[in-house]
Amino acid sequence: MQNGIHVEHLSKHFKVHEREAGMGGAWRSLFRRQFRTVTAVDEISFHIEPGEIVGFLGPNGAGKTTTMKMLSGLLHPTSGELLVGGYKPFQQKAAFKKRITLVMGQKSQLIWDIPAMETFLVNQAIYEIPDAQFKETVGELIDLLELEPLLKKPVRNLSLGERMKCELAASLLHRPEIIFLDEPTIGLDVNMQETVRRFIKAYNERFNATVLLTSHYMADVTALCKRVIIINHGKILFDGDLAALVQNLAPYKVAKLTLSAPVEREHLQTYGEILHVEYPEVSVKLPRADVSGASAKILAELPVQDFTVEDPPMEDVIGLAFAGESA
Amino acid sequence: MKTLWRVYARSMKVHWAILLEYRGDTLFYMIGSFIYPLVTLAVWLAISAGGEVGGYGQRDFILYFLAVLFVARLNGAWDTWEIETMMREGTLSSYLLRPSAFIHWRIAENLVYKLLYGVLMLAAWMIAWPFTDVVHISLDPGFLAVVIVAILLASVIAYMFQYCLAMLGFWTTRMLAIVNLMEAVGLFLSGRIAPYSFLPDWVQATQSFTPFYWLLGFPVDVITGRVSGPAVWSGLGLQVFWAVLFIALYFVLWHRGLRKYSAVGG
Repeated sequence: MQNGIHVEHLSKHFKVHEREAGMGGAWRSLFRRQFRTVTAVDEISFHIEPGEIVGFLGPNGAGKTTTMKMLSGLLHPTSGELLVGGYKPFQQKAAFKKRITLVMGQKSQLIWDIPAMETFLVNQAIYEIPDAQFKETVGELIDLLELEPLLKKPVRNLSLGERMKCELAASLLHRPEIIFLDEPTIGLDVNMQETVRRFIKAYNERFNATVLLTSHYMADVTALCKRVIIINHGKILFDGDLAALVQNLAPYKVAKLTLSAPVEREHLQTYGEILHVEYPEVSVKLPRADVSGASAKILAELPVQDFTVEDPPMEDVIGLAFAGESA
Repeated sequence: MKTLWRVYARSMKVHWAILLEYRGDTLFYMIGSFIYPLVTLAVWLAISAGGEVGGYGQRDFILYFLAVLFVARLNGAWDTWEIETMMREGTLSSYLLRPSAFIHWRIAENLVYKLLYGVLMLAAWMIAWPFTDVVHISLDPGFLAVVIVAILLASVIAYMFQYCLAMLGFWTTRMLAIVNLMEAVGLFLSGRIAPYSFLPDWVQATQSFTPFYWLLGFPVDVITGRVSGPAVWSGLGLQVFWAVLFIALYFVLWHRGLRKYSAVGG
């Protein structure tokens, strides 16, 4: 039975202790503590169907990790409804914990001083994984993540990327149906990022697992997620198709042309806002509604050697989303 | 139950592997822990100067502090430091996500070290037996059974006491300061520095009202034969009381602490 993730009007407030800098402040706070309530997550709602991979994006401090912690049961929500795989996460039932996993790129669950296989075996006992299933899963994970040469080395001797691969394996041994990935590729080199992405995709397809992923690398998001949820200041700014996000937020495309003869900048401007000129390369913004008309005009009127039209880079689009909200 | 057994078996294997990884450190910790009782013993031997102090002669002091050394190794707990670090660095979270209570993982570690210490010290005691009668204690099975039970209960009290103090870390960042204070008080009240009977009467009168005597002094007094007869049974009863109290307190603190932790984030 799979139930996905259901979030309704979820909020989380933190009470933080504030004090002024310096000795005076320290002294005063000893007697009269000043508290301030911070809203980390503010009435957010969304639903994720079983088997979906959703990108959860936002700048630092937007409320992503707080939301992930509530979804995995580490944090108690201040208000709102929350059902993950049919369970209320903060009740921390063992049956719930067996169906989920949370991988934090910056925190490790591996036992530091001994080979990763030992952590796998501890998890086998804790998650009550039958021997046959354990063998099969470990075998698969070793193949998919190329773990074989890593398993005999103490975790402390592994590189960051190698450790992340073992981390993923340890987190997925019990075949969770709901996976929370918080910056799984942080600090990894490009090849390793690619390996991790391929693996997440393969796991999702093999077990129809629901995946919620945060990442600062747009390549993770574009490679894995059809749908993204963007959050900032604890509020959801966008929830929908990645493609729709680009269309909604970036009402333009970028025409890149290579000129065969110089053209005055003033003249180029008549076709659209210029992003970049360095003869013979020119980039011009074209309104999305009139891309074909504007393109035809450029091709007819300018000495063009090469011509392409693209969506603006995802980083720019997300940047627009954040900027639009704060404005 | 079967699951819990498997969790312990596997966790203990892992902790054993970690212990082997740090075997040098373990050896130094163990030797280091002997220094305290041995120095205290030397001081008392100097004070008694071949005579008697408070009913203890040279031989009695030696047996007393050997018993302290023995029991103190078997009731040791260091969870407050470990847990404080895990709370501060946020690594506790990954244990909270697992469908097995964190304390099992910690107890497994404690048991591994104690099994090692227990075996080593028992062997040392047996080796010393033919050479000196100072280490001779009654070998009556009933007596030995009482000694074992008293040491076991003392370890449970000491461990759960520490663990409950560690739980205070959910509410305050000054938890280790409280632990240090407790250790300082415990130094005297547990019988670590001097036999309990040396303490002023008004301090001795508090014996039943603090856990300290029951987690060290009592089993030592049983081993050295200072407590016998009905006092043994009432002592074991008080040990059970303190053990149950701290176990119950653990459940309350753990569940409340988790709620607190989950309210403020880790």
